[in-house]
Amino acid sequence: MTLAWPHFLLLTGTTLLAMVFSLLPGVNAATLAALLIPFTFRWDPVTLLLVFGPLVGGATFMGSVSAILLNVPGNPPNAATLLDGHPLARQGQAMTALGCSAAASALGSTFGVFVLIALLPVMREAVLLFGPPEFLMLAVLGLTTVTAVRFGSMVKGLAAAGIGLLLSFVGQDPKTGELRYVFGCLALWEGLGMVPMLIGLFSVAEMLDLAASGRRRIADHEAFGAPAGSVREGVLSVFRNFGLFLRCSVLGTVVGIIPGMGGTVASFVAYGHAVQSAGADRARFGQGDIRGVIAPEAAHDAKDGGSLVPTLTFGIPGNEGTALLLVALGIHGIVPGRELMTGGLSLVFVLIWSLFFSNWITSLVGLAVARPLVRLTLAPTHRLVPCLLGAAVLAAFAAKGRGSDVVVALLAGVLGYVMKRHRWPRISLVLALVLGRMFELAFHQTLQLRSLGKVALAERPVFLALLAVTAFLIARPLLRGLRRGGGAA
Amino acid sequence: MRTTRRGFLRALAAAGIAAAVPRPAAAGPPCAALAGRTVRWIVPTAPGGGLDTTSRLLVPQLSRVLGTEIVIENVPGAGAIVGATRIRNAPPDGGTIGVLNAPALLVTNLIGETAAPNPASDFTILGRIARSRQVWATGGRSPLRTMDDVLERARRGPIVFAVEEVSTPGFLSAALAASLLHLDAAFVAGFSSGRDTALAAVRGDVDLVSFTFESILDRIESGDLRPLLQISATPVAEHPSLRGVPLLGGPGGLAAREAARLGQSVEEAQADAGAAEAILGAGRLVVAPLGLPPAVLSCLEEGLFAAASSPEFVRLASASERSVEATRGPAAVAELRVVRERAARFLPAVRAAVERARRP
Amino acid sequence: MKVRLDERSLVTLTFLAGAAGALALATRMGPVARRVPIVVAAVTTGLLLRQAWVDLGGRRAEAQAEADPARRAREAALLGSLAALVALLWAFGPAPAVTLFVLLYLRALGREGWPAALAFAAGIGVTLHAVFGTLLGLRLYDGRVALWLTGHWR
Repeated sequence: MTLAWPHFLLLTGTTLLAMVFSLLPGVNAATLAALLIPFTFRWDPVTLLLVFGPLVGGATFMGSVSAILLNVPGNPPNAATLLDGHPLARQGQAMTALGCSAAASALGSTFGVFVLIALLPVMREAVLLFGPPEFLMLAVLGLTTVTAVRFGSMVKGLAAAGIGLLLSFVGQDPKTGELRYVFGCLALWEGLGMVPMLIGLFSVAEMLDLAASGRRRIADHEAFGAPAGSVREGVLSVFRNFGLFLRCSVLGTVVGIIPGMGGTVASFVAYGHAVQSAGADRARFGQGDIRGVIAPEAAHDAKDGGSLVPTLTFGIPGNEGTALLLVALGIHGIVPGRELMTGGLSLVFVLIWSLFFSNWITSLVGLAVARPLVRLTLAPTHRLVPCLLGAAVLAAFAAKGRGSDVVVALLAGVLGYVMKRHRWPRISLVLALVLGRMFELAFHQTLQLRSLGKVALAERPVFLALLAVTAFLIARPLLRGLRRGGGAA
Repeated sequence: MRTTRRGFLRALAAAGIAAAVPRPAAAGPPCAALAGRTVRWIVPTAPGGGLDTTSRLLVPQLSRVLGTEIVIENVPGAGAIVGATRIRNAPPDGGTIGVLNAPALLVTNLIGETAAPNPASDFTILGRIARSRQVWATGGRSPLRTMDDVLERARRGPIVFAVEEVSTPGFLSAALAASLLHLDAAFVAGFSSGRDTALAAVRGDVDLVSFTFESILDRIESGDLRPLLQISATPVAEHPSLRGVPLLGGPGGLAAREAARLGQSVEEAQADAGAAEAILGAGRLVVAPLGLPPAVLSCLEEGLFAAASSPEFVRLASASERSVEATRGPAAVAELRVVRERAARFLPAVRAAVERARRP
Repeated sequence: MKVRLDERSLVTLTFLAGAAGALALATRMGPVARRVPIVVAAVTTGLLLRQAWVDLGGRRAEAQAEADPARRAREAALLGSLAALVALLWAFGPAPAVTLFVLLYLRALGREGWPAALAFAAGIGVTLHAVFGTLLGLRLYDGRVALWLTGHWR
């Protein structure tokens, strides 16, 4: 059904539209979904799902294109890609980075889709396996990667993570509602928004660095007439690092299954894992290590398949796209749950294949259109900087429609610039920022449920498995150091 | 940190849905008192939440009924206090109206921790567009099959509720009804959304959750949740799953039954149950600043009722899982008067529940 | 010990002041609300003290960022431009603020001629209005000036 030519035309057309939206900072495919919903009233369910497949997560590679070329993430989850993707572009390896990103994106999405299909019979039970104790261990697991991504002084890395955690505590305490670190400012009651913080720490900070450096162009060399890397090399790099790709795809899928964690967590935790698992061979991370592109791309796109698990079984959206998918399904009287998973399974497969094909279309077409965009790296910075700063301002504003978010983004931009300038690891701060609130909430909830006798930690297999993995990851560098007879790594 | 970018996009979708509906004939003559003016409709939450989505479905209808342009303005912050304050402080000329989640503000006022506007005394109430009628529910695999099981279990230890936040109608419902039934209740707060909260009960991490019936109907029909108690004196809906589910209020309700069992005044218990239902049922109020001119007040009240009870609005709301129930201003005011009189009786119970929820 | 107070040390000291302040504030929170922040703030303060000792004593393994007067001047100009952007935002709302910011930046810092600067700024303004204003329905012109002129600011 999906491969009939009118359906394929529809799928391709929507994918192309989604790609345009994903490329622009401040808007994404979910924006397109919101705009299309009024037109879906008279559509049949198959058409609806063919259109929403790309909008749920089929065009995310395009956000990576602006991250790699311009150091400005198209969407917050793409921020992890620029850490090594943009340095590669500056070194004249833009097409290598883009080829790698496209391949990891498409293959990661494929992995997520196949896991989703494999989980179909047990989707409900898979979601029910994760409660506050499991969220706590996942947050701890993610935070352990902080020690790996420090790129230098361990003290600085841990301190940056501490600062990130403290920033995550701003606002109402998730358990008691008590206000913390708001200084009487009502705009801070709900905490520092993730979107403005990431826009500031990466987009604004990078633009400030570009302007302050006095560089006339993004690229460090003239790329006219010279190759900007090799797509083939980029694609092959995914297969050369297939173990890393698989692990990050698994990570992304698991994160996707857990309601509320999102693509940003998946990308950054995967990046942290890539550095952590590199062991002694981590010197090039942050300066153009291709593994720093593979990890977040694979995780971010594998997450899309995973995020459909809670959406289709319990109606819990994993991201903006799935939230709007639920709105569209509701209009057509399609209710997630047992009924959809039994009597409506053919519709579920329409959505799955739509997601699958749209990711491949995006990667292939995206690579073709990205080549001319590489020339943007030669655009004069004095023109690029104000335009991209302006786009960042609007992106921060568009999140909640509040001017205070723009101020947060600009202040975060100054912080990010200072950190970059004086070699404080932003990635450690961001990891702690994205995980801090979840960690604290899950910590309190787990303690409370345990004291009320509602959870027995020893009887929760997923919790125990995550505890074992975390312990191993913490112990491994210590054991390695002991074996070498020197200090810890 | 929660991003409400998702919420903004849902709001966009809701606005689009409303715009796509064929326009009905005008329900009545335009409001002369507002002729040629633009009215601001304040939503005290970020785009995309329940208040915002309902507003975006209602405002186009209201605009057509009144014959005047109405512009939605989101004024989020401080748990809706910023937006509520903006409405309260606006000039009383009909140029600024808005929508409030009354139970949340009532709780904040009851526990007196923050200087929040009081829906019962600080606004002109134009009407109610939705009433919160809660049910208690447990997981489908829970050993608690009936309220008798719950009452029996409560004698051995606290009944554990999952709630999103301390100020939600779900928390208030659990706190008030638990105090009326003399239940020892513990609250686990901080879940990220209503569905996430319900999932805690499905998983068995908690004993009970409290939600509006419509919002968990799909989970009930799939067997993931089972309703145990209707926080009402009359059935909250006509549905097979509610057959045999006891009511909290009324002469045969659980509150009266427990009062009789404990040798306390049954009439007082029924009155308290009615007041609890009124507090929860305060629901979503459309309000304006105090001191509106009579012509403007009358026009807005009638126009709001016409828009909120229009078939198009009801159908759109139903399509996005929102239960709506239009009530005229005077009737809503009369119910809130009951709330003001009785609210003081609940103050210790609500304070104790909040303390319990915040306990380490 | 010779104390080396340079830009890097000042940054560390600023972070240290922030963490110490967070610790002090955490001690005044309720018992549940402060449980995690107090531990995190204490540990972070300790780490930053250690780093400050390293930086002030000049014992650092990493290369120092070069002190370049031209860069300092550009940084100061950029900070000023951001402050101007915030002021424009407050006064005029996002769309006019960004449009004016682009214009002023291109002229003052980018040394573009008026025609190019005006063309760029106009293009940005039209795009912002089309995408964020018309398509997404965001309110882009709600600066204090507009609100005051329409009587909505009090």
